[in-house]
Amino acid sequence: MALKGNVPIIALTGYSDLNFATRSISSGLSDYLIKEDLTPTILYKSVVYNIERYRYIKTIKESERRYSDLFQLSPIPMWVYDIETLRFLDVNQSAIRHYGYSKEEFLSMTIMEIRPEEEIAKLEEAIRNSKEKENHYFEGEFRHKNKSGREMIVDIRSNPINYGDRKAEVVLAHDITERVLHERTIEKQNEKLKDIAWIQSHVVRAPLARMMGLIKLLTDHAVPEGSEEEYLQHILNSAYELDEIIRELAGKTRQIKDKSEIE
Amino acid sequence: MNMITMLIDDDEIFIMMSKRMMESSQFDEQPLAFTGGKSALDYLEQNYSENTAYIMFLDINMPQMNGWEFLNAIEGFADPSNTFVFMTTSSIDDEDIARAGENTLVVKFLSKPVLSETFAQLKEEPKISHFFKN
Repeated sequence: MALKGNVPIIALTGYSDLNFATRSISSGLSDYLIKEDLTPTILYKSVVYNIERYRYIKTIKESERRYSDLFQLSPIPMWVYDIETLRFLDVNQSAIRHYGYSKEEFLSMTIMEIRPEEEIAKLEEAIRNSKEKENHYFEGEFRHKNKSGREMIVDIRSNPINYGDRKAEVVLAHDITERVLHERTIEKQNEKLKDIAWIQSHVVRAPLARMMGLIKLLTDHAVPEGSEEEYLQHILNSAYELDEIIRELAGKTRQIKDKSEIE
Repeated sequence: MNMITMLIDDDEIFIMMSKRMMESSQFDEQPLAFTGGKSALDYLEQNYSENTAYIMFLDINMPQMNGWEFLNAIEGFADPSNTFVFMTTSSIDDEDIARAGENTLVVKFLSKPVLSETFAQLKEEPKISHFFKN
């Protein structure tokens, strides 16, 4: 007999049916009263008590469902794994979508299997650390791979949780691959820009300052008689040097521009 | 007290130019030229005397021993009362300017090219002006 619906049910039973009544509680019966002991007060109390209790249970179930939804419908992949066996105990829909394994496949796997081999040592260390500390909140960057073997960089947050009678960890795995790659590109560009800034302030002005000085000497007629040619040659050499530096800078700037266009 | 002007720069054109500029501004007819921090340091270590005033025009960016390293090396024996360093550089780097202000041997920071007019003005610089009055 399956007892469902939105009302609490109280069974009336005799002494002879006591066993049956006790069993029925587990299949959804709210309470049972023994006919021989029935009094108006007992009946009244049972009715009021069971309505209240039923309302309370409903609240708990709703809250349970809310938490389950938070887990199942989270846009970020989540799972629960057993910290002893490392087996997946539960995974959410986003994890299934993102990693390409079905729920059944996940539940037959350990968390080692979504990692590239070179990450295993790092994972083992993280697990050792989290076992040593009680209630240890963990976060860090790891590399994972999905069913098709594509590697990704994930930001992991995990917390210990009791899952039934198992000690487990609940894990949030945010794929940050694109963000990290983007940051790396920007960092590389920054290096180049720093390089350019350094050349601008340290190298470009050297031949220019030389030219300014040499021209000043010529216009002030402060060069030894007959050495004008030599001074002009120095000016020309400095001009060539400046030209070369500017070409080099233009090359570096073009590299940055090309890079950002590819992005 | 006799005065020795030292030009320390790896760029020989700058040395040549500065000599001309010093000449035309009558700052010093015969400055000593060094094409690196190391050779200037060697000279000072052998000849440094408390009775001589040293006016140095020190380039910052030089290979091997740069201007800052040279300053560190002479700080142990050179005294601000007879050692007057003018940092010269063609670069525009605020960090260099700030650093020059922190060193007790450094009188001033000069941007290249240092022209005759600048040398003429330096003769009026309070810390060294007395060497040019006779």
